[in-house]
Amino acid sequence: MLAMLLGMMALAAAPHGDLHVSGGVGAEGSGGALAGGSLGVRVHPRLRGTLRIDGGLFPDFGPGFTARPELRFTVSDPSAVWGRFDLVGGLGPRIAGGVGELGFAGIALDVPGPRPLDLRVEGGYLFDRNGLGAAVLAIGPVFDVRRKQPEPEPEPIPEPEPPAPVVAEVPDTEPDGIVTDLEGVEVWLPHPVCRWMPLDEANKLLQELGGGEVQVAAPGHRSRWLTVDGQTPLSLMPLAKIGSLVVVTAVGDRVELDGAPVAVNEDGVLMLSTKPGLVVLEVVGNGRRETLELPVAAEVTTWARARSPQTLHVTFPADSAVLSTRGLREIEAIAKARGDARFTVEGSFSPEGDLVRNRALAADRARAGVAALVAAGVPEDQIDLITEPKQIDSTDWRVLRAAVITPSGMPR
Amino acid sequence: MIALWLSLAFAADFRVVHAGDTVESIAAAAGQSPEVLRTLNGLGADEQPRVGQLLELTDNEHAHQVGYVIALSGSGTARSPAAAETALRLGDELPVGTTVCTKAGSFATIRLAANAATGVHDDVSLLSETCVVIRGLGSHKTSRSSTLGLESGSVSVRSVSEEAEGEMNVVTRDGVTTGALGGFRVTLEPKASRTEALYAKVAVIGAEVERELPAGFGARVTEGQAPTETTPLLVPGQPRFPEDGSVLRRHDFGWTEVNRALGYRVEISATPDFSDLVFVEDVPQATWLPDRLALPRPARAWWWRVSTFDRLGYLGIPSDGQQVLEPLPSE
Repeated sequence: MLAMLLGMMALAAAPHGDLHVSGGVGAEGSGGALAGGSLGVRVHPRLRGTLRIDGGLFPDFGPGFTARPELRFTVSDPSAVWGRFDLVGGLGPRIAGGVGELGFAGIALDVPGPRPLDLRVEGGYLFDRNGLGAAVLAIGPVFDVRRKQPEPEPEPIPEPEPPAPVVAEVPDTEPDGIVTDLEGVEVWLPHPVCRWMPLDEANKLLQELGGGEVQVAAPGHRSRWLTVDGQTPLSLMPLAKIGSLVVVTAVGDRVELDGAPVAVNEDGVLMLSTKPGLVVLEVVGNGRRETLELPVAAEVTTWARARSPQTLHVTFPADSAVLSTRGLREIEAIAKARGDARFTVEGSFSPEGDLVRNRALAADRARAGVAALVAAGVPEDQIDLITEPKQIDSTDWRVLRAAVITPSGMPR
Repeated sequence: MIALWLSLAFAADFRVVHAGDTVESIAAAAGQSPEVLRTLNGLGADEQPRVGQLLELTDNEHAHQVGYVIALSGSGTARSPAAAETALRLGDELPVGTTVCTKAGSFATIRLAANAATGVHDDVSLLSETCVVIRGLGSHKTSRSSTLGLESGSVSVRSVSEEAEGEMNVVTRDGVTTGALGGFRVTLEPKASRTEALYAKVAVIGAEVERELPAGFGARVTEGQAPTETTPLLVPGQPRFPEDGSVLRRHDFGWTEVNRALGYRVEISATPDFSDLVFVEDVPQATWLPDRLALPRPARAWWWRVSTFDRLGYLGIPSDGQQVLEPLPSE
C-alpha cells in the first residue's frame, strides 16, 4: 500500500534515491555485508518516502534479500548548505534465514557532493519480531534533484544607461498639398443635404446656402472638413503613406524599436507614426519583458497595450529566510527587467506557529529579497523595504512564504 | 442606357397595408385610382389586401429613384438586376432590386428614397455581415417611401424630421416593420426578427396582426405568427471615459452599469450622427479594454456611444455620442 502511495506521489514530486553498501554485526556475533539501493520521492521539504532493496549476507539471518518501504524525516534545516540530518524507519518482508519481516530504525547524514549527488552515511538497527537484530553502517552516493547547493555570488549587473529622449520616428511628413486638378473632388454637404457630390455642383448649392462647413475628399488625398466660401482654394493633404501606433505601457517601462530606445510619455503612452508593415517593440520594465508585434497600415491608427505588471512572489522553504537558487534566479530576472520602475519588497509568512517569530521571519525574507535585488544591480534607493508584514489571507504557501515584490508601475 | 432602362423596369414603390386600410383609402392617399392599384397588385374587384401586404403604387406620377452608398468602412458587394456583383464603393448608385452586402467587420450606410420638396431621406446603416435588397423607392409630392428586404444581419434606420410623410419599411421572412419617421433597428435572428423602436413609434406586422411599438420598446415576430408583446428597452449606460472632447490616448472605454443589463454594444463612428460606423463591439461588462483597436484615421474626430442589451436580447437606445480626438505623435 505504501509503495503504491509512493508511486502516485512520484507523479507530482521530485525523485530521490541512493545506492549503498553496508556492513553489520548481529546480536549473536555473526557479521554480514549487504549491497542495495533505494528510490523514492520528496513529498515535502522535510519528508521523503523510498522503497529500499538490500541483498547479501544478513547478520544472524544468513544470505537473502529484503524489500521495505522507508520514511525519512529531516530534522535539520532542509535548506542548510552543510547537508541534512534524517531519522529513518521502515518495515518490509525478508527472505533470509527463512521468510519473515525485517524492520529498520536509524539515522542518516547526507553531506553535499557534486550536484545533484550527496554522500550518505547511515547507521541503525535491523530487527525482527523475535528480538533478533544487527547494528549496521551503510555508505554510498545519494541523489536529490532539489537539494540546495551553494551558488557562486551573482555578478552585479551594471545599471543600464537611461535612454536618451528620442522624438517618435516620423518617416514621412504630411505636407499640405493644393489640389489643382479638381476632377474627382467630391464634397459632402451635411444636413439637410447629406450627400456627396462633385465640387461644381456643391459650389452652386453652397452659393444658394451662403457657404458652410463641408467635408472635401479627392482621390489620393485625406478628406477633411473645410469652411468653403468660394474664394479660398481647396487645400487637401495627400494620403499619408504612414500609419500611427499608440502603445499603452506601464509607468517605468522602457521601449525599444529595432534596438533603439523610443521616448515614452510620462503616463506610459507611446505614440509614433511609421511606414506600413510589422513593427516589433520590446517593452521592458516593472519586472517583466514583452515583445509586441504590431501591424501598421497606412491611414490607420492602431492602439495596443503591453501586459500589466504583476506582484511577484519569490518563495522560501518553510521556516527559512534563505533564498533558494531558483529564488535568486527569479530575482535576477526581475532586476534585469526593472526598466525605470521602483520596487516595494515585503515578506510574508504562513499562519502556523508563533506570530512574533513569524513576523520576524517575514521581515528577514523581505531583507533577503532586497539584498538579492541589490546584488543583481538594482540601486538601493530604488527599493522600498517593508519590515512590518501584513497577515495575508491566502492558503497558497507560494504566497505565504515569500518575498512579495511590487513594481511601481502596477495598476492600482 | 440598358442598365438605366432595366433599373427603371425594376423600379417600384410600395405601401404597407395597415389594419383598417382598404384599396380605396390607400389609393386616395397616393392620388391614384383604386382600379389601377387593383390591376397592379392582381386584386379582384371586391378583394381587399391583407394586413402587412406590400401594395405596389408604381405609376408615372411617382418619381423613380435610386439609392446611394453614402458611407462605407471596410468592404462589401452590390449586385443589381442589370449587372454582375461588384465591390461596394462610396457613391455607388443602387437601383431598385440591388442586393447590398457588407463583409465581416465592415459597415455601410445607404441612402434610399429622398423627397426633393421636403429634403426628407431615408438612410439605413448596415452592420457587419448584413445583406439587404432594395425592394422599393418612391417619392410623390411631399411624401417618400422606402422598402428594404433584410436577408441577414441587422440594419439601423435613421430618424427623419417629425413632419416627414410616407414610410420606411423593412421586410423580413417573418414580417414587416414600418415607421413614418424611421429611428428603428431590425435584426434577423435565427428564428425570429427583432425590432427595436428607438426614437419614434413603428408598427410590426406578422400573420396579419399589427402591433404598435412606441419609441423605447421592442418586439419580435416569428414567421407565421403574430408579433410578441412589446418590451421596454433598457436605458444606455452613461459614458464615463474617454471623456467627450478628449484625445484618445488610451483605448479604455467605460460607462455606468445598467440594472438588469445582459451586455452592452459599443459603436465608434467617423461622424457624429453615427452614419459612418467604423467599429462595433458587444461586451459583457460596463468597461471595454480591448487589447488592440484599429480605426481609420478620421477627417475630424471619432465619436463613440454605448447601448444596453437586456436579458431578452433587445438592444436599447444608444447614449449620446462622445467625441474623441486622434492622438498625434507630436502631442
